[in-house]
Amino acid sequence: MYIIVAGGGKVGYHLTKALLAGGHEVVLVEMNAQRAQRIADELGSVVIPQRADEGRWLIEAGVERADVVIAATGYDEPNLIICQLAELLARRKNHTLRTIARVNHPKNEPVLKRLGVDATVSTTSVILGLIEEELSAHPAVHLMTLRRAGIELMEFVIGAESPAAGKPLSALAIPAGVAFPLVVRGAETIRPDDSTTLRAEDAIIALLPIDQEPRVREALMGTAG
Amino acid sequence: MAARPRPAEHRAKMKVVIIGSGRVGASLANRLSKEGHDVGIVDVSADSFERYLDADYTGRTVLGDGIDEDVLREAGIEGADAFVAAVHGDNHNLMAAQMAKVVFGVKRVVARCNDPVRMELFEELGLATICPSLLGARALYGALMDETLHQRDIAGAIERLLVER
Repeated sequence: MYIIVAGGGKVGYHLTKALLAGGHEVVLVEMNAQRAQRIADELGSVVIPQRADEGRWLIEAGVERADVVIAATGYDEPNLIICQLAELLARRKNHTLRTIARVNHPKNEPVLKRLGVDATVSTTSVILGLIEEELSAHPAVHLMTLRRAGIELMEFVIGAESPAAGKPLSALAIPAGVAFPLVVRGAETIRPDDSTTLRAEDAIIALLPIDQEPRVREALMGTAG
Repeated sequence: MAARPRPAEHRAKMKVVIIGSGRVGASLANRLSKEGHDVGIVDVSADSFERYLDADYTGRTVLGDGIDEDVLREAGIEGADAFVAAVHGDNHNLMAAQMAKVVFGVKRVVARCNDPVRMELFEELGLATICPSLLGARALYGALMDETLHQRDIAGAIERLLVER
């Protein structure tokens, strides 16, 4: 894929490095000239030492043919604006791309999604999710949000007291539009169908419309909260 | 009888939230407050309220971040008729303006945006933006090309500028 990373701080730098190692074509836009130079010395000529929140540098970075733009600066406002500028500039050329924003203040996560960013990654929420996963025996974990499609990917771990334990999927009150692509049972992975009976400790991966989360939670975990 | 523009005091009273209490934001707040509008102004520095708001400013002042929903609520954004984003950072203004429009449903929203390219793009999104750098350039151009202005002596020209401001 052709990926533009905006912001060469710790996150942007390591991301760029990992994406390059993964064989992707990457351009990093970093406004601090010194930092840009340091990264270019190490990773090669993949760095544009300019501001990514100015349209012309996004164009220079190839926004009109990029597959993904990742706004990874340490501030939420430029991350939003970079994603929106990328979207607008691409649209002018009838090109579509996906935008991903790093969210620094968790409060801003729903705002950025509402304002059209395809996917958001909140470091705080990720760490909170991991803590929830560590502390709670039967968690519901947000894995990913696909804003444009209005769906999210979640993992639910079925507890012994869960109303879903011991029941086939067809017996559960699952709202329309929800899909369960995978159930992980111990070391085994199962492609479930309506007849698949859920057991305690099963981890079920769900693709669900964002507004249906409480109902899916209720059906699988017994609590909507 | 020819229709004349109605004086400001006769316009409908609005509830307005302004973010950024610098020279621009505070001047606007002072003016709207004098005209009797219900004004709430937000800034991260209490000092800027002291420095730029008039003694007879009657609106609310709220200390905090202009993109924080709770701060905006405290400033009165719920049910506000208008919102003005006038801090120094373009990104901050553009984000706050969109929050006012999309999250809080404010009808009249104006954002200050210094970068003409960003301004043009955000106007595509339907956002009203004011570009001080373009306005400044236009005003300077006007002054430069105004023949009558340059036929006057310096003292006269300065006086005129002061009166017109």
